[in-house]
Amino acid sequence: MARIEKFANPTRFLRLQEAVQPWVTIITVLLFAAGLYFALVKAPADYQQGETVRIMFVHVPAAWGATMVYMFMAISSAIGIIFRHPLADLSAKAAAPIGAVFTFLALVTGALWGKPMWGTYWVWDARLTSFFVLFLLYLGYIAVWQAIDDYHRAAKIAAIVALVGAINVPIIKFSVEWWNSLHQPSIMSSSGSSVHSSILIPLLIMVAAYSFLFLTLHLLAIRSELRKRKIQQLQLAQAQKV
Amino acid sequence: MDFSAKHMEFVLICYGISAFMLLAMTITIVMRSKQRDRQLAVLEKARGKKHHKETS
Repeated sequence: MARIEKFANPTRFLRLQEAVQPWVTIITVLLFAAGLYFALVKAPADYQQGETVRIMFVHVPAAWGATMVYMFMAISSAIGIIFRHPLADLSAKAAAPIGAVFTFLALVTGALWGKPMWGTYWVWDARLTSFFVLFLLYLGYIAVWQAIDDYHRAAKIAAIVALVGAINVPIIKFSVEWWNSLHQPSIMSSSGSSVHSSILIPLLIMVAAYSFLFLTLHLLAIRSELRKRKIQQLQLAQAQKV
Repeated sequence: MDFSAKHMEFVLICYGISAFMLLAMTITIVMRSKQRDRQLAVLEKARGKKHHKETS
C-alpha cells in the first residue's frame, strides 16, 4: 500500500509518466509491427477456416483488452473507495473509453467472423450477450461521469457501477462452459494451449500489443485528466478573484 | 495471405475497422492531452504575470 501511496502525488505521477511514456510508446509500435507481420505474412491459413482465421488476430486481443481493462477499472474503483487514493478514480475514468473501444472492436470483429463461419452475424447466446452487456456497462460508466458535475459524487457512483459490473467478467469467461454456446471454448487452459504455435505466437504478440497500447494511452489519458482538474482549479481561482 | 481467398472481404473489413478505431482513439487522446498542456501553460503564465504585478 505504501508503494501505491507513493504515486498518489500527482506531481510524482506526472514525472514518472514523462519518463516512461516514450518507452511504452516504442514497445507498442514494435509489438504491433511484429504482430501484424506474423499475423498477415507468416501465419498460415487454417485448414478449416481458411484466411478467415486472421480475424482472430484482431478479435481475440480486443476481447482480452476489453475484459482486462474492465477488471483494471473495477480494481482502481475499489482502491478509490477503500483507500481514497486520489489517482485511483482518475485512473478508472481514463481507462473507460479505451475499454469501450476494445469491446466495440471485439463485438464487430466477432460478428464479421461469425457471418462466414456460423452463417450469422449475431446470436443471443451466453458469451455474445454477456459481452454486449460489458459494452453497455462501459457506456453506463462513461455516462455517469458525463452526467454528474460534482467530482466526488460522480467518482463514487461510477465506482459502484464498475464494481457491480465486475460480476459480468467471470460470467463472460465461464459462459462457454456453463451454457451451450456457439462460441468456442477458451484456447488457453492449465494443460496448455489447443492452438498450433504458428497461430498462437502471432496471437500472443497481438495480445501484448493491445495491452501496451492500453498502457500507452492510459498514461496519457490520466495526464490529461490531471491537467483538466488543474485548469478547472485555476479558472475557479481566477473567477473568484474577479 | 491470399487476397483472392473466400471471405477475404470480411478479413479486410475487420483490419480496416480495427485500424481506424485504434488510430482515431490514439489521435483523440494525444490531441486532447496536448491541448490541455497548452491551455494550462497559458493559464499559469497569466497567473505568473498577475502575481508578479501584485508583488512589485
